[in-house]
Amino acid sequence: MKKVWLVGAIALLLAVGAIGSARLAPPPPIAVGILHSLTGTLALSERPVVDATLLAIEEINAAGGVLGRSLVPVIRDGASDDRQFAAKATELLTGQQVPVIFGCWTSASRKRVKPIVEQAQGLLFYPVQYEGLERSPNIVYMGAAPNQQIVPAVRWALTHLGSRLFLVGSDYVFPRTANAIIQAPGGGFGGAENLSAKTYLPLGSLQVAAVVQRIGQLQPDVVINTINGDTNVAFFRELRQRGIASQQVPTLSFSLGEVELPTVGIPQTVGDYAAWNYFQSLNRPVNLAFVKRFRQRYGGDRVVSDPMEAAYLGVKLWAQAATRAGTVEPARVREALAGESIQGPQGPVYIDPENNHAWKTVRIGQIRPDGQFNIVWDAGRPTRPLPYPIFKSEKEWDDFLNRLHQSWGGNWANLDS
Amino acid sequence: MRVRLTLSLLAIALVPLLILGIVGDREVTRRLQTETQTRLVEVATSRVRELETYFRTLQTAVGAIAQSPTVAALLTAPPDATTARRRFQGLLSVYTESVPYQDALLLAPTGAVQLALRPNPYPNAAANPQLQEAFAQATTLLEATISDWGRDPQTAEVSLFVSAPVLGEKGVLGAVVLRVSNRTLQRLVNQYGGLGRTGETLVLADLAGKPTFLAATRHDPDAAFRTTIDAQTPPAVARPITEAIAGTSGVGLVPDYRGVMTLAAWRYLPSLNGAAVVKIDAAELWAPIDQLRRLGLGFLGLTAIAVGLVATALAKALTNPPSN
Repeated sequence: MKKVWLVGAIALLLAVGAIGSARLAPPPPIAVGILHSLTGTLALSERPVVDATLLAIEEINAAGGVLGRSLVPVIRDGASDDRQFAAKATELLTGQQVPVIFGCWTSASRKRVKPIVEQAQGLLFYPVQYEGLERSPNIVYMGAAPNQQIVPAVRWALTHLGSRLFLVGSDYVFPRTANAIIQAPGGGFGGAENLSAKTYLPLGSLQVAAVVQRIGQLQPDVVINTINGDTNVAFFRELRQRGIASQQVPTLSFSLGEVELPTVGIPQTVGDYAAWNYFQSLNRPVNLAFVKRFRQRYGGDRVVSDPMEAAYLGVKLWAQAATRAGTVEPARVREALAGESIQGPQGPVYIDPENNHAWKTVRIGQIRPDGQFNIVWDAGRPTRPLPYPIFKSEKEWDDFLNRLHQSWGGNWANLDS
Repeated sequence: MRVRLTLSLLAIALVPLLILGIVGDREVTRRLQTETQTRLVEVATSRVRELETYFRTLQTAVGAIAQSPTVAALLTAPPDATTARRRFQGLLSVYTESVPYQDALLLAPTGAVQLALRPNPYPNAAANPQLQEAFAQATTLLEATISDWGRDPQTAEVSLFVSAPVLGEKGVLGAVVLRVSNRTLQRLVNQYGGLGRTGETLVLADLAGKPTFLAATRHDPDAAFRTTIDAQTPPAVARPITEAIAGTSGVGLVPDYRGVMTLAAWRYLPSLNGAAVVKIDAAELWAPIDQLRRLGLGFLGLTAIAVGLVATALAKALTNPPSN
């Protein structure tokens, strides 16, 4: 009789133990993709974005993860080559089966990855300001649309700096589209009358002497700069060597932030302007705390820029939406993301349910000798994102983009220039 | 012996019943509370969508008016004042239903009033910061924008300006500006479907550093532009409002501006850069739970009496010596 009781008790203990251990076992982690250039010419800008993305992931994990599961980053190198971006996106979505990718930098890389994410019904958080003329249910555009950067900045320049514009940019889709917006007839910028000149430089080119010489000859009121990458280093150096000071001919840039300034040369750029939604120097408690956390994690000499803040907020918004949806399944998270908002270092950020772009506050900053920005104009509240500028129909903009793409032999940059 | 047996039998019968009762009560309460919270969040989401749709409709309509060739012509080659007003009125009549405006203005590129539907409503436009802000926003962002709310100096109505740039080949020709009062907002906010007897929606925006009620509430018909959240407001009352204005959504039990405990869901309202708080008094919400709990307690009490009687009888029967 005693034996029966003993066996019974042991069996009961084992059963309770099995149930308990099953309940106490940690749930499996969630693998999330990070796709940026860790090598190549764009690594300088993209590596800090990876750092900001990882900071957000670490903070989420420290707070208990998403739905009780920790996040595990799966990092892939786009190697500054849009074909690599496409290959790695495919691997992340189909091989690693990640529910979300945080990544891409250039519009060329995003446009390569877009059909892959759409086909896999995945989700991509894109952290960079861009030229617009695009929307996808599978991409959350965390960077500025044209009406949140290019349009107000050029209007501000026309009012505050002068009406004679010199447009200079790298020869790929972002500058070409930005300049098409600025020059659009009836677009509110005065069309050709306000244009001193317009010129494009091949991506990565250091042959800037002729362009700078022309600026010196024409003496425009402002240079609208959409150059991306290393060309900026040569461009600003040449401007100063030729005695063209920022007080004389200021430059308004769209791809020059806190991260790029030390490389381009802070003394060469002091007094010039840049348009972004976020500046590290924003005097807001949430931002001060964010910068402090970033520096504690990565070092006191590190700086934070607009795309980094956008990348950080993208991860947080995804986690918020997944928690609300009760799943990381991309289709359900997409639904939950529509109308989701977050208190960001820059202020409130809201995902527009109609176009998956973020409402963001437009700001213009003037470069200081310490490599930070004095904010000289602030829209004061988030601006609704309009990926297609209002002064042409969507079809006209799409036609413009298609013509550009075809003329470049199916590429998103002019590789022949 | 009999007492001990009675108590043992009572314990055997009542302790599991008590445990089941407590666990059941907690589970039912938790489920009902979760369900109520989910429902409230859904109501808040749908309220925010309704409000956003309304503000987007305003912007779309004013944007369409600004793109009309009639408006461009009125700004570049204005006819006499009467003809200009008639033409402007004719154009606006198409949009009257979607945009119930109180004033309609055409501003010149300088920001001065070039044409007004009502005679001279803003003789000194440059001195009206709300109007100037509306003009500056529209002509810098080059899209239809919504200004902050303010009290109209002439009518004292709580209003905002919806403005859109008028674009021409040579740049900005001016702007269309409509003044819209908070009457429609009031109507939208005062819909109480799904909000029971005590529920209401609060709409606030940060005006001059203070979150300010933009519409009357169910419990305070004078709240619009009078009730604000300031340093004197208890932190627990201010928290959902300041959080929502900053961009953070949430749901939970919080005291409201009357000091009444409520279940509230709060959301960011992007068009106003403000907050929407949907809330119901906790007493009303938890009334079904309390009722259920009272019912359960009554049932437990009756069961205890019945079990007590049975246990006593059974103990008596077991402890009495057999009759034969």
